[in-house]
Amino acid sequence: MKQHKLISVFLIFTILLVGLNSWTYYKRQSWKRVYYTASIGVAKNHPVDLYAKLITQNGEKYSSSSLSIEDDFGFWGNSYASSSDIEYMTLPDSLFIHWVSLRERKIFKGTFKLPHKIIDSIFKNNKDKKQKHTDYYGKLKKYFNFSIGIAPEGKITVWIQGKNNFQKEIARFQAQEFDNYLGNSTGQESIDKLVGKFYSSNHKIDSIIKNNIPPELKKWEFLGKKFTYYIIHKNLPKGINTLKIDYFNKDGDEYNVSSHNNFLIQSGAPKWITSNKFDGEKQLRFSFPDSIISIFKEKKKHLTAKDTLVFLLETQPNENSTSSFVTTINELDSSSINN
Amino acid sequence: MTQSKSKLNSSYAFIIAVINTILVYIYLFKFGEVSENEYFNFSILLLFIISLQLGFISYFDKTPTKKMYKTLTIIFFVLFILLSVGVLMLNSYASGFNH
Repeated sequence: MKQHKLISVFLIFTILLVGLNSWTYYKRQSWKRVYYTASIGVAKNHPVDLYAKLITQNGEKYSSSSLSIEDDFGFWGNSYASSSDIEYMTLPDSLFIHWVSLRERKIFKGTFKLPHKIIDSIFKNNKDKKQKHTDYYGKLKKYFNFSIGIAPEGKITVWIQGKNNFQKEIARFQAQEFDNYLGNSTGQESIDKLVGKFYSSNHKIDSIIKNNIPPELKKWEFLGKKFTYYIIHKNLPKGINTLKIDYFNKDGDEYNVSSHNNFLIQSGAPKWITSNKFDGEKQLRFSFPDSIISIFKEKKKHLTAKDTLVFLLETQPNENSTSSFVTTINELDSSSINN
Repeated sequence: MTQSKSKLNSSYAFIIAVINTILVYIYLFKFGEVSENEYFNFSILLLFIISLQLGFISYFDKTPTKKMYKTLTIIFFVLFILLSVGVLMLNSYASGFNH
């Protein structure tokens, strides 16, 4: 039987649309696309003026417009993106960043290759830690944020940030000093212009820039110091199932302590430890001063071969208090880490 | 030799029209070819595409189902006109507000 012309026309459109969709799927590498955002944070009281972009392998860009960052966009390791910034792209391959550090009166620039394997494994193996956003049209978007931290002397740290306290450092870069920032001006002219017009409603920052107060150069390197150690807990009160830990290098995660009593950590020294609520409203909360980093450093210095640092959380039986110690495996009963 | 005119199998045409509509929808919305700000405008375009296909089916259909396709065409076309007018009015208000 002969086909009606309308059916033929409809079928031609079907073929064309299938072709168009297949070609778009291939061209966009749709199978590789994920949702993510990016945000930039600066060392506290060290404002910058910058331009940055994440670049994917197929040349797509997730870029910031030129930003003057004081404190509004967040601090080093504590920057957050708005859900309106979520993009659906292939994973970023490199980071381009060009900025003027107003307190240092220096310009830095660099393009850095991001560690693709680490990023890929975090996106694949930590799906439950992705942040969630349901858009206006009811579409659920699960995403991670690339948090880019800028510290004095051209130091850049990149973290992947999710929900439930999840934040993982993925790379550190050293940008080189550069002699150009604003289009037709020399480096020094650019710095003078930006410093001259700098205004902050935060009086302290304003005064630091106007009075040319020298930058704090070593602080961020000190805070970013990483260690390999076990966190071991002993006799934690019943009802504690999770511990949220924030580290000084701005990593963070949540640990299920009901099934394991030790965790191998490759992060900074712990800064905050918070348990879930138990016995009604009770909650364990520890806050540690910067000096704990020096204790870790000192302990590491005297570490023998085959020994590992341990951060021990211990509740004394019959006592209502929990204490913390920095020690080593050899100093502890080795059975502590056998689950 | 007499040439018999082929009759339209409207159900078959309707199924292909649904598939085509889904393919257009996937292209526009699932592959992100349309930015989120334009979702609404392109939803209206989709309504136009649906009414156009239904219009063709009802025009060529010579069976009792013709009436049903005609009604569906009118419903989708009226929806398309109403939403288009709504969007045009909103845009003109918005541009007036900007000035």
